[in-house]
Amino acid sequence: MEQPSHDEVEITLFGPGYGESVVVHLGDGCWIIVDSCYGAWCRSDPAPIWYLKQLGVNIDAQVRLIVCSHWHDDHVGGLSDVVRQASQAPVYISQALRNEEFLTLLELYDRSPMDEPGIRQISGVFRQCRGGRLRFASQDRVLIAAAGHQVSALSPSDLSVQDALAVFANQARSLVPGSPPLRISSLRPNHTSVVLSIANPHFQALLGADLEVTAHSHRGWQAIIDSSTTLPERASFFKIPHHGSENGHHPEIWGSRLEPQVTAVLSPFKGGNVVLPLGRDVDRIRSLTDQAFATGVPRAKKAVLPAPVEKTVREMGKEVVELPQARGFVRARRRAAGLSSWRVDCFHEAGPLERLYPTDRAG
Amino acid sequence: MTTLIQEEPVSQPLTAGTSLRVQEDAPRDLHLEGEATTDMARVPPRKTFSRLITLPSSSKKPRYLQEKEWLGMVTAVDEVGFTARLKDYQGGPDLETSFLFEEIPQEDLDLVQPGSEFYWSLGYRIEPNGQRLRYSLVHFRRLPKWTAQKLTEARQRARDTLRALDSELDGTT
Amino acid sequence: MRKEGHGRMMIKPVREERALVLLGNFNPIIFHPAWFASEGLIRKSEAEQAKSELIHPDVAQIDFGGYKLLVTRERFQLTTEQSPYFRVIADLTQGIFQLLQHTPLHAAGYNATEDYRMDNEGHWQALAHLMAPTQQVWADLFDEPELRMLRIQSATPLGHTQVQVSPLEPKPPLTFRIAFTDHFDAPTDSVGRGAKEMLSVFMDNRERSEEKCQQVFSKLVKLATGKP
Repeated sequence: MEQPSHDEVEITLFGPGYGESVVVHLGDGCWIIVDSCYGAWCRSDPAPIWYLKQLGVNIDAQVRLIVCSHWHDDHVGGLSDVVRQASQAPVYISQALRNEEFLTLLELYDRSPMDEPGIRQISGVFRQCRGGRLRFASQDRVLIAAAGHQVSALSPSDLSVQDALAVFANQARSLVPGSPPLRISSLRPNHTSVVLSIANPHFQALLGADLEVTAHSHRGWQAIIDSSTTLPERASFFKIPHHGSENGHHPEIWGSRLEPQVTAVLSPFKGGNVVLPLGRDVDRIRSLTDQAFATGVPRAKKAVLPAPVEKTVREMGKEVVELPQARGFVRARRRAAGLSSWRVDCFHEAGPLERLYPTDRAG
Repeated sequence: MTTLIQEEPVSQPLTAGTSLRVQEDAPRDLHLEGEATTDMARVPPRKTFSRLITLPSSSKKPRYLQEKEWLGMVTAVDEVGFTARLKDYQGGPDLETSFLFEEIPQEDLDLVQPGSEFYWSLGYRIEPNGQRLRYSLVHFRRLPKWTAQKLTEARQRARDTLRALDSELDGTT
Repeated sequence: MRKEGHGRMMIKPVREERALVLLGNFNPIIFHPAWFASEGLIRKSEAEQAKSELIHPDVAQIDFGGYKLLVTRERFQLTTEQSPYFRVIADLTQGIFQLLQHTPLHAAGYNATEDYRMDNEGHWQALAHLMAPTQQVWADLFDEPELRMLRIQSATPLGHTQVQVSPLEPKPPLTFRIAFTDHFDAPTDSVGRGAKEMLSVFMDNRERSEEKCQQVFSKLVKLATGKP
């Protein structure tokens, strides 16, 4: 795999079906990493690290920014390792996590014997990032200006920060002396998510993280539309939020903040009974742009088990499946300057939405 | 006070058949010949004697040949059972399956809720008579409950972290 | 030795045991199955079926079926020979010493013992010869020198690790035992204080100890048989 040239911008999305990560080249060998996950094709390194090593990037010197868009398990797989390897990069997490309630939950669960991989990753980040390396992202904060680009956070809004605090406080209240330790459920809706815009004089890109639409103003996507000063006027690239779900879809963003035929990418999600995108989500996205891509379609595979175990499981009438994984990633590149369009390459099982999700797919 | 009859290092387990020497108090005899006394200085010191206790062995138990073990986490519960994600201790991919309530020990049913963890072990069980049977064992984890002290300490550490972050950020702005 | 379905030889132990040992100051009388059940550490039925094998102010031994508890004034020990309970006894240890958090602990040991039965005596001889070449060293001094026990110990940052290897039968030995101990000393600043720090060190390293013992078993069995 070859590196982008010095005047090329690249945005690459990994989304193995449970997890998401974005790697961005701003130009001149300057890279940023947003979230982290493990890919089905590589289990020894987190996906962004694996990818940058494939390109021969000097991770320690060239990764200039790490953003943790929110704290859910599926966005922080291997994040602690990323932070350790890209040791010069400041790390931004959501302002909505900078409160006593969330940190109390972190302290409690980090030391419990429960298996809480997401919590352990975030705790690892807090432990490693001392001396001002850890910073907090909130609406319209500029995170980095480099190689002629500005990367800004568009969320969380002030009210979203307060809402998140209330949710964490509620969770903390349920932890009373004598209560049994249970894994922390991913708290909904996702008020903490950090949406990013990447802009230079010639183009704009919008990375939608997992931010959702809510009925309330000054929160979620509505807060960005109402009051953000760094929301792109017309983005040519859009990382579709929340795995293409209806909850992450705001018509005004699509209608007036993205170019017609915007290059849009999404990572699917499959966890428990939740599958995203649904068929109607795919139809909606395809009606808005022909340039939509996905990192794959998570397919459940029958688990490969030792013979005696397989026999026992079969006799019990049980089905044991591997967690569905989408085994691919989508890479988009364009010239940083001038009129240029995105050149999209799909790797492994990634591909255009119309190929991966044909119109006769039930959903 | 027990005295071990074993050589170093002592963090190895004691096994059946090991003898322990225990000290026991002999009954105290307060009567002195010829007179009663309340003078404690004249009461003879309590006698102790030592004896050996040998750790017994147990009856023969079934032996387990474990072929696979997962750490399960309940992800969803419905009227008939629950779905769980399985983490492979040997580093294989995460799996998913479902269980009926009938498959769970009665006393563990109260522990079945989203977020609770369990061990799922499968393999062969060899009975003392030599008979070999396939087995599937689910054991919900009974972890230490949250205590007031743990909660207080966590909150204090959280405050300390926030204070440290505030002073770091003050230093950089 | 057992054959897997596809014909590959897989050597499994004929006996496995794990024992968690804590050294400190204990009061054996308080360790009662009913107390464990009332604190939610074990099932009520496990408490009801438990057999107290020894009851003495200085020694308590209780058989819970899947595992056994032995407590003396200086020692707490949970042992199991049933692999589905290997992790259960760790959870139980944590639960007990969260309740008894003021118990002074000064050392802990993760113990794994496995017995391997070979299909011919040559395998033990092969291993014994590698570990201690008796012929070269002892043959001119004794008529029939044979290795009956070998112990190797190594310091670790937290204590030391030890492996003991011995045949279980007189000549010709077909079965040999490998006993692994990962010993942890209490962190210096916690000696004489409660259980928290010692237990934290012990439990944080438990999976590593298990990985290490598996490496030891695997290596020695491979040396004995030439097979994985």
